[in-house]
Amino acid sequence: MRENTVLILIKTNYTLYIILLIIALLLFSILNISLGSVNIPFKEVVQSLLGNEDMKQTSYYIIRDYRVPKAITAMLVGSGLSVSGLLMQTLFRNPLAGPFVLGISSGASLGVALLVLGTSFLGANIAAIAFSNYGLAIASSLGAFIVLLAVMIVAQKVRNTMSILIIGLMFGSITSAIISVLAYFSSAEQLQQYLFWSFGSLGNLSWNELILFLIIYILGMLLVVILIKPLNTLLLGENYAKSMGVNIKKTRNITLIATALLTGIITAFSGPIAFVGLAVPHIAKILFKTSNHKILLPVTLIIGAIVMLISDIIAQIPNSEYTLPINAITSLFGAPLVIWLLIRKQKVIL
Amino acid sequence: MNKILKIENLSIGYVTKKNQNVIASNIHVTVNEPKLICLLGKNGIGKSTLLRTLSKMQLVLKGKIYIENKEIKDYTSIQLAKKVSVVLTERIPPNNLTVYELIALGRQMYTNWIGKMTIKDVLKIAKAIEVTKIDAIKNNKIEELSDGQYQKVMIARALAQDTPIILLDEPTAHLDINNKVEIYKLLKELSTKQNKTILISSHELQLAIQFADNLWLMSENKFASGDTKTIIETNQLQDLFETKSVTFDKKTKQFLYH
Repeated sequence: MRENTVLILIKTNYTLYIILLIIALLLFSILNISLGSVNIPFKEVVQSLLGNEDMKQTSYYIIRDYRVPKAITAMLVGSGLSVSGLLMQTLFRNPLAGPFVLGISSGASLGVALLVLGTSFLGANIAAIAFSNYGLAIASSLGAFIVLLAVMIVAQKVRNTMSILIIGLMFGSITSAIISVLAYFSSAEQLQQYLFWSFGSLGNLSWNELILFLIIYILGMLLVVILIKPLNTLLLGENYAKSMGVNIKKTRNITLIATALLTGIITAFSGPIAFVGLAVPHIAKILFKTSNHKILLPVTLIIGAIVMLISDIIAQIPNSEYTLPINAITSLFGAPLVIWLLIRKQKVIL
Repeated sequence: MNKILKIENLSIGYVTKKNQNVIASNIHVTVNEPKLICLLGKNGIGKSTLLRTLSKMQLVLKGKIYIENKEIKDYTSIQLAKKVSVVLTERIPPNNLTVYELIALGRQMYTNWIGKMTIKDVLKIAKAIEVTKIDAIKNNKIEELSDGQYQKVMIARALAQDTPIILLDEPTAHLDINNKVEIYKLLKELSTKQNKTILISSHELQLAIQFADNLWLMSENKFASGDTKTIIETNQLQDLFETKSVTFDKKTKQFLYH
């Protein structure tokens, strides 16, 4: 009897916290949409969201075609990266693993670097395509895909999961070395272009691009749902997981594919956004003091979305013309958090 | 006769790309009814390798292993997980699981894709907690447990798995003498009252002699098995362990250190 009440209590507590998180998510998304470089009264914001076209045209378009897609992008980016980070931390049983350990961000960077820094060798026509939104997205997806493919092929040959982590890091080193060489031979203008991409951005997506983003995101998340059970078992280590009938190789591959889909599409549209994927799973673990992925996954997802919305609000510097690079904001928050975690907790827990 | 476990002409070891590294071979043994078995032998002789091979974590190099008359290579990993559970020497990676959650993971081969537990699962877990007497700590975090408590929890997890065979790799390695005896008593009780076949690899010779129904002895070129009494009578323990500094007194069943 006592056991049942305790169990129910824990359960309801989790549900309560998750409901609170969802409310916070809603509040922050409304706040995110309300704030921006142009000051739009809250009443107009609400009316635009409700689809009332009678109001001032510009406000309506700013809300509908710029701020709402940006808020949705922020949520997809934050939640996708955070969930990927959680997957990687559990798979590699390493609290410092993040969504980019598979070399996806370095691959994407290489793709963009080749396009932007390498266009001096190409004609003007190609250069024009290169600097369009799609050009960057395609280049970064291709780069991410090729490096990821290389990591996956090598990963099939190693039995030790830890080796994959190191292989990913090594590929990262190789790509950043190539980028350094390219940068050395590039003009200031090209370097600036590349630098701007590497700052990350949430605001450039049209509704069509957003729909593509959403489809891939949902595919990735569906795989994540299948992974909840084997990931919980993997908490006991690979040998115990094996003894309980978990197919380690299959679990590993599904995890890698889910992470690749999520981080690949995010990097393609928003650039290499750092630290969210590493830091948010730890925030979730500290707040909820659990390793159970059934709770940890939804919580990480929601907190990731909230963190990205807040980062975006800060980056916008409400009512000013300036926008700070989103990547700087996430790192400014992320790095101190990771340091604080390591100092506060003697033991970082999965 | 429904044989629980049968090992035929087994060779165990490691496979590398170029060759096979055989650690032990010519292992023959049959277990017909639930027993507490202790696997004895010096360090590095292949006890852990044998346990890993029996649970299919490692490949069979030669020979055959049958569990309930079916060769283990014909079992899917889920099917085998319902026949053999393990308690390993390695401590699990640090995490935030509670004792209850960890034991519940022992049911995952029975649950659906999302791991939803039925009443049967909950009852099996409750039973495992009851027989290992860990009710008081079931809501504690794994990280907070003493070594003795931790081993009982891992045994409870194996029990929740509801398998006829449980393999334990040096389950009492880090424990004080009281905890050691308690664990052996518990395992003995499980084999008699719950009809489990329990195979323990161990260096606890004294406890093994006292509690085990059967002994399996591994040495450089020999594998021997038999009931504990016969093994003692036929001087096989002396052959395995006696050196200048250790002798075995058959009458008192004591090892003597010089």
